Amino acid sequence: MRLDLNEQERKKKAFIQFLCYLFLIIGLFLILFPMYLTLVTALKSPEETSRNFFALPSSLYLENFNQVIHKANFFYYIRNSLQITVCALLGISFIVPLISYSVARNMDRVYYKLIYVLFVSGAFIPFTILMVPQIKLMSMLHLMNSWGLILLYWVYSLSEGLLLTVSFIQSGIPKEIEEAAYIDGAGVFYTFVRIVYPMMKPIIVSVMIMDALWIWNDFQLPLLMLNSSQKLWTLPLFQYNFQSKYTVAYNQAFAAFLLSIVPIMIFYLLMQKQIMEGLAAGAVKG
Amino acid sequence: MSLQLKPVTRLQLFLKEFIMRNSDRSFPCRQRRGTKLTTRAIFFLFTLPAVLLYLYFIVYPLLNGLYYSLTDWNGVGRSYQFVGLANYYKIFHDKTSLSVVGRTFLYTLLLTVICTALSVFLAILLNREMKGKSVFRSIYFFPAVLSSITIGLIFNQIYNSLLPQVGSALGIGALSHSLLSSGKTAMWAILFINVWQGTALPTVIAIAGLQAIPTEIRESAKMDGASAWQEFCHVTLPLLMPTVSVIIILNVRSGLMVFDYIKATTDGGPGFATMSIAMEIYKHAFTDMKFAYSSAESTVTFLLITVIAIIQLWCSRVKE
Repeated sequence: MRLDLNEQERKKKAFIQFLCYLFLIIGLFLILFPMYLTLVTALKSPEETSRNFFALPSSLYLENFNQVIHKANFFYYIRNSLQITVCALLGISFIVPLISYSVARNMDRVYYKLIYVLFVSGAFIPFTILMVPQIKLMSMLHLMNSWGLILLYWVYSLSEGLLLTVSFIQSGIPKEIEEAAYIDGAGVFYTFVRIVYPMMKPIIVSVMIMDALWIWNDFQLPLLMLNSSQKLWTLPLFQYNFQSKYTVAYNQAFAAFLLSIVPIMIFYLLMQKQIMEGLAAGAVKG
Repeated sequence: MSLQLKPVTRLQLFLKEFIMRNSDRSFPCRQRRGTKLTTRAIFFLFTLPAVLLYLYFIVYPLLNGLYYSLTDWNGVGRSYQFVGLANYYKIFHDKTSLSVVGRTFLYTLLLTVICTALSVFLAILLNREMKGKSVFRSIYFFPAVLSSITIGLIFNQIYNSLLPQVGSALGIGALSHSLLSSGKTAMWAILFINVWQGTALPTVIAIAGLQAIPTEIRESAKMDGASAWQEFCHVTLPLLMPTVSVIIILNVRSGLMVFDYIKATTDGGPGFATMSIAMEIYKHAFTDMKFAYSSAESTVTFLLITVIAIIQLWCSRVKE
């Protein structure tokens, strides 16, 4: 009897395990299928695609990539995106730690508390609500260019950056270290640069990763700011406009998508753990 | 020694204080007071770049938008008139605006329910002991790092070029036209794209939430003879509720503000079948020259979102 029960139990467990695998594999298929289609369509000629969309390419057909890279100047837009992302991140890595440090250490003062509340409540305001008057402001300032875009990324990184960084400083960096530095005669600026900033590195890195993904992938802001001048387009804008220009040549469109996925995929493979942790932490806190 | 230094009388106490104060007032202290002032100034300077940026590029436009919404400005002309609440009146009497709000709400509701349920379910599966767990996890999370516009465009091509060909080859009538070209199916097709990408991040959050629950609690429930389902309902789910509410907030936000997927696929069409609140504001402000009207729409959306946020906060308070 007992053995029988055990046997049943084990069968039930194996069955549940099997169901789990089944669900996960179905999900995997759903996720990978569009990726697979992107890959094979990018590697096939239009004629071959119309014969069979799902099959692997019969031979290596690289004309689509040739078109995207040489005729549509793909790498030019990669460079644009890279420039904007790097400049935005440089600014963020400077502005956010500065304000976070002074807010975290002066929370008992009204001014800093006010800043904190104001900035954090800003995290709940969606871009859609701000975009109309804000874009108007930018065009009045003649900032409808890459610099204006970078400036707005600085602005939009503040709320979440402050929220994450302040709580990191409050819980992770003991005040005593700074006080010791002050007693030794170090000024605030010196203490910040030499002692606090290096200790903030982990949180700065995860804020950077989050912001890098967001800025690299962002579509709505570049669409509003840069769409009228082709030489400023970022990668998402390039993809968007490439598609509307070549609606019929979808093999080339897929080649463009594939090429745009590759850099982010490399980044993901290299930093997967940090990205997962950073994004999850950002979402939970925000 | 210690006895000698212990202040016994009031005089001694006074003397001690006096000496301490005096020594504080002497040279080193003046320096410290000086640094204290500069400390404050430097801390203040540290906040300046961020505060100025924030005030000028967030707070000022927000107030400005509120002001524009009370005028009839078209966004380019030199003159405009103050029209009071006329724009707001128009919004609440415009059938298309109301239907756009209704559609966006329905979309948000569906997205939130599907994504939340799916992500919790997937997190439970991915949190089990099994072979290849990390591979599964990395693939399930991959959509979260891709650009929503890339995903939108890929699905646009699949819906427009590949699926119809498959549909006609297999003789499925419903699939032989693009799902995006019919007003009945377009919003569902877009919802599918959003679920495809939008489940990834909540799944990671839910996994993190599950891992934060101590295993002893779940095991002791099992020891007490609870079935897996009972254990989930009475132990895991209540403990996971804070995480779930974060996921819900995330989904509600992205649902109410859906823009990229629509821009990548239908651009609001066919007709107005896939207009969302964000698309409507965008169109009115930047192509239809109804600048003041779209400012009023932004303000109404702001109020709506504030109300939803308050309800959500209130709900989570009540539960606690």
